[in-house]
Amino acid sequence: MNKKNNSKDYTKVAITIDLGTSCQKGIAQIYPDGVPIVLAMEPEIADLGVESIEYLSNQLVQDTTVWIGIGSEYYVLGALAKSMFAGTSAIRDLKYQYALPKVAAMLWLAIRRLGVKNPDIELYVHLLLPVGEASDGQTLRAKLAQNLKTGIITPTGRLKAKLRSFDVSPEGAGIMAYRSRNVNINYFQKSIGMLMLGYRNASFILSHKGNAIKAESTDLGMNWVVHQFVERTAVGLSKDDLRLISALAETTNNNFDALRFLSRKTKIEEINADVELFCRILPIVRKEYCRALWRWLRNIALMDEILVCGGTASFVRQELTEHFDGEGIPICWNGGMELPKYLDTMGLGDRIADAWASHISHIKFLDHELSYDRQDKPLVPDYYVQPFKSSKPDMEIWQRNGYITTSQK
Amino acid sequence: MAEIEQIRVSIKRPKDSLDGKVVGYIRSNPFGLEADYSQVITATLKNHWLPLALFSSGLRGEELRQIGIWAISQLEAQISMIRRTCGIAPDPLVVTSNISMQASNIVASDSLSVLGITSGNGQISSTDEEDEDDDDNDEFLDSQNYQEMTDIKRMFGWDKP
Repeated sequence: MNKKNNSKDYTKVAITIDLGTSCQKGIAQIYPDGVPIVLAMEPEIADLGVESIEYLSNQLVQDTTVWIGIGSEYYVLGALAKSMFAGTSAIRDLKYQYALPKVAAMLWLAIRRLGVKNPDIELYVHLLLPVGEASDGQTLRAKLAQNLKTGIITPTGRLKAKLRSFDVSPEGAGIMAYRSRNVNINYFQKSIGMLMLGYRNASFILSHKGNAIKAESTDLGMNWVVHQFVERTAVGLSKDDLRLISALAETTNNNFDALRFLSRKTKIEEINADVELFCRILPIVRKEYCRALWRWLRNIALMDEILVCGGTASFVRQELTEHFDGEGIPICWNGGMELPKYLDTMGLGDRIADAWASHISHIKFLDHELSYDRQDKPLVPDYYVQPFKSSKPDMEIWQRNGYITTSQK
Repeated sequence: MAEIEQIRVSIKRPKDSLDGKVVGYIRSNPFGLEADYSQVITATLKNHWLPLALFSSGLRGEELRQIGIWAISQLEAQISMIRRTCGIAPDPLVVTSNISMQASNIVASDSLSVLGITSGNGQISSTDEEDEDDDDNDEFLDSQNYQEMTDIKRMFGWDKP
């Protein structure tokens, strides 16, 4: 019951956040009928002294770099965190530890990219955490709500908002929900497996009649593949080379050119020799990766269906398909979900599938709670063209360079 | 009598360079318009930069919008002339001004604007704390009441509320 009706006209922002370890992803929209946009930020984070912020505030505001002040703690996130402050993606720490500043940074990015000018904002946040990091999110919710009330310091000022909902779900839940809604079998009466192959690790969940009977994680993620590839080739590749993952992923499309750029040699014959080596080692590493996966997945009970998702899955798509075909288990990629044609995935493609599916769940939840009748309208209309993203940064660069000397002060 | 302050632009380029060729072309009285070539040059500059120049000198609101519309029309006309001359079919993916206006209306009720970033006192949200203390919790949405989410979480072993 409303004690008093708010006279203020709030802009509602709904956001679903996946704090991935290779890339932080988010889907944000103005609720109820704004078109969702994809947000992506590099995962690095570093804590800073307040004196470093002074330096950063004089830098150009860019979407790839965010700094955030929470209470007396300051953090820089994104590209700059890595290059300048030796930040880490906190790959060994629990994702939860840096969750607050990371969520705050994504909120800032969302409000900025959505172009919200109304100072009165209501936030509806849905956060995805790894299966093994089950949490009711109450602590995080309370901290976030409190800080949004007093104001989170950002490059464009103090971010204040009302936190109207905050929910934490396991990664993969969105895809599971999507599939359960769109398939003719009762998911809650069957044995359903879910295999998630991410950057950091692999997780397997087995649900029988609606209850988890197995939920396991291992470090068999893409960084296992990268590590093995670097070790085996032994030609001075760096595990931290960001191009490595995309180059390895490209080979699944039979594009081996990307491997060429990994070589650190200068002479053309030596580069060719490196590429030959890469092409020889890669199938071996891929096979070993699969063998390790099967070893880990041995003793799997019979399943009515297995859902496969995660950015690493496409790297071994063929092997996975053959394997589960051999076991007689129907396999379903990304819950059979297709991303909307006009959703600009910022080049992340299927890597945002889970975030997108979770966002659909999020919006369904909000529609239910706020009694909004969507009338089966899609979130991203079929005729939709994403507006140019670059317009705002351009303006700022021009201002910074003095082409536009704005008289606002 | 006060003299009007003048601004002088003088640019020198090798005749064979691309810059030189462009100026040469404009001087050659293309399309037989008989426009003075310095006028063509300033007109070109205005099409491209006038809205930004006026924005920079403080112009806002409807006047700025009108100037923007004029400049965009000029540039669109030029685009269509280049297309015809060079035989380039319109690219269906290019966002023309009408569509992008429509698109940003979909994204946000307010259209994107640089003013949104720079205006105000550096505070994104100005909600006053004093007037909201009492209604903070009564509108919080809890997903525990939403069956689908609890069902799915249970499949992942997240049974706790």
